[in-house]
Amino acid sequence: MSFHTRLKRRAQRWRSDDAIMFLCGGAVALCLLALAALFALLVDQSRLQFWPEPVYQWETQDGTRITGQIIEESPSSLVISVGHQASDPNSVRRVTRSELVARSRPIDIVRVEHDVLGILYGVWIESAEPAILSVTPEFKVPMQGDAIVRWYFPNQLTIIQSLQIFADNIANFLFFASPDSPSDAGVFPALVGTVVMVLLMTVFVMPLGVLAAIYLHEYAAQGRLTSWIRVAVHNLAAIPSVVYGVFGLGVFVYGLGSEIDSAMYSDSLPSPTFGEPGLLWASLTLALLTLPVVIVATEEGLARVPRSIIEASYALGATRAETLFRLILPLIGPAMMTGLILAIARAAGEVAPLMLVGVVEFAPDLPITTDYPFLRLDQKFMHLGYHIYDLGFQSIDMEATRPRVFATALLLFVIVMVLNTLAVLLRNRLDRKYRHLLE
Amino acid sequence: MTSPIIEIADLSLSYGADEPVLRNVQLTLERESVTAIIGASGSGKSSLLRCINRLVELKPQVRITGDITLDGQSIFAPEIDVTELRQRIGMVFQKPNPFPMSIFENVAYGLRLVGEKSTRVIEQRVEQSLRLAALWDEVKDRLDSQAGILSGGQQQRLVIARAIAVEPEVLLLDEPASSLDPISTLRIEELIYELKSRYTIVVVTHNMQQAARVSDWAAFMHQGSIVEYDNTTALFTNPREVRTEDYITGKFS
Repeated sequence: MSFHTRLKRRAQRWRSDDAIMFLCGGAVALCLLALAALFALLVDQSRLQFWPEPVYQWETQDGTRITGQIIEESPSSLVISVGHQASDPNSVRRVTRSELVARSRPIDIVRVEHDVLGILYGVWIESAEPAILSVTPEFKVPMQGDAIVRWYFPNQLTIIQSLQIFADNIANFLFFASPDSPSDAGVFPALVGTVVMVLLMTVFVMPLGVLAAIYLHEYAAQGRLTSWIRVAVHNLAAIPSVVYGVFGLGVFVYGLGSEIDSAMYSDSLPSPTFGEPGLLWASLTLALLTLPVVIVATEEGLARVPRSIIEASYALGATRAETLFRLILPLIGPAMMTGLILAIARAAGEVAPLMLVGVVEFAPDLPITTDYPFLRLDQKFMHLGYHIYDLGFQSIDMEATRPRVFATALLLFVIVMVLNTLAVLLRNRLDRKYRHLLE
Repeated sequence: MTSPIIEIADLSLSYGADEPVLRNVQLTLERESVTAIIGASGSGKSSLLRCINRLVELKPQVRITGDITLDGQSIFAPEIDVTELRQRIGMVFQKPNPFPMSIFENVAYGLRLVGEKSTRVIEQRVEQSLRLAALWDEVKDRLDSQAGILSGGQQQRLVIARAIAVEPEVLLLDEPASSLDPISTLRIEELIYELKSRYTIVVVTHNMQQAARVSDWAAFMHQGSIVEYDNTTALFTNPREVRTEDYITGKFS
């Protein structure tokens, strides 16, 4: 082989080496990009829910005017939130750009949040009590002071005022109390419902999962049966979650629940207490759903405990239980925490099974109380994931609630992200603590 | 052979249906002496050691025939509690395996297992054991530090301190210096020599010089059997068996 061919071949080898590296790096970049895009989308789409956007006025070809805020822009059309109108029950209008002639940003436009009518855009034509808002020249609304929830000039806001409105909107998004309308009410009950249900679930899943993992890893003979059981556990994680929902409905609600009712709450029958979907059954169903996650994570933790130190413990005369409690359990603490947090992250995002076993679209009463026993186990509750589904697909005015859907999704996304970050940090701590043992 | 403490009689060991690991081992260990077991890898040295404290039973499907007696009583007798047996027969492993706890807690582990509650007693015994293991001066100011920060040699001495804290009668050392540097090895050997006056020591080793330096008695194992057992000087200078001579002169591996 000549010197020249050798050089050429060498260059080729390194070129393909680089290509592989870029391929792998590209995959990582794509993952990060997708995540960033998702986050950006959620933030961008929920902006209208929180930030006081400017209000525009458009002139159309047929001479009418449209006043409102832009929900969505595309090269050919606009989606505009126009607020309450006399003629049209729909507060969102979709127009093609060719219909529009001119756009202006009038300084005196007012945005009023009205008790009954919702959002109105217009100008004050009479500012003394009772004030009159002119939405269109034909549609003038007299305003009683106590009917106005809030009003401001969206095109005159200073940055400080904008920030105030922004903070206000966040508070409203979370805590606004509306007794009958799920699409206006704050998401706080859903947030509490999600958290309480998930915490209750961890109370069920942790002891069960950890004990099962310990049995499988420390006590069971490592034969064919055990490996079959292990495969079965891994398979449980792959069962669609709605199947768990059906199982929970059949076994927990109709089976166990009616048994409890006929045994303990027979005076209130035929109206069911535990015989209908509720917090307890939802938590139990999700506990079942996340059980494989906990078992697998705990078993992984157990597998990382070096055999040599377990032998050392036995050699010092420890029994199996003593070795377990004094040596192994403290060591796998972080692994158990990892399993717990993964389970929480999974449960917090689950929707389908919950629709069957306890979540409803609107339950403003929190599932926790200040009186004993502090939990309303039989009560139906709200959940962020289901709230998203409900707002997005079941509400009357879908376009208008869209920013709210994205804001709720953003909240859920942030909660799950925080939990997963915690899981990673714990795993890293475990690595640091035991690295010298694992080498 | 004035006062035997452990007598191994016709001991065979196998895992499941595999070839036996030990075949009819006969060995008598004298009180307060050092016995070295030498032999090639896979000759059953470690397995023999693990039979003496019944640690071998942790493996599934172990079959043991024959008997081992400690002070004249069979260690396999039903009335023997295996945890008490292991407190009487301490063990140190090939690789230093301190627990992921503080130095103090490592040594106190065995004491807490036997139910020692008094802090004063535990502190005393920890100090005494660390002194005996020639580690006290190096760690007395950092007893609360993680054991993992110690060097390999220090860890191995810590593990020895941990084993002697429960005051065993016999100490089994499974290649205690094989993962250490020459200086640490030397210190472990000195320590074995020191501990001889208090404990009966059985040391498994690959290192012939080490066996010759530290032991009073030496056994040569080959394929699960004891080929030759004699006092160390005799075995190394004047072996009776050809196989022993081949092994110690390095003709055979």
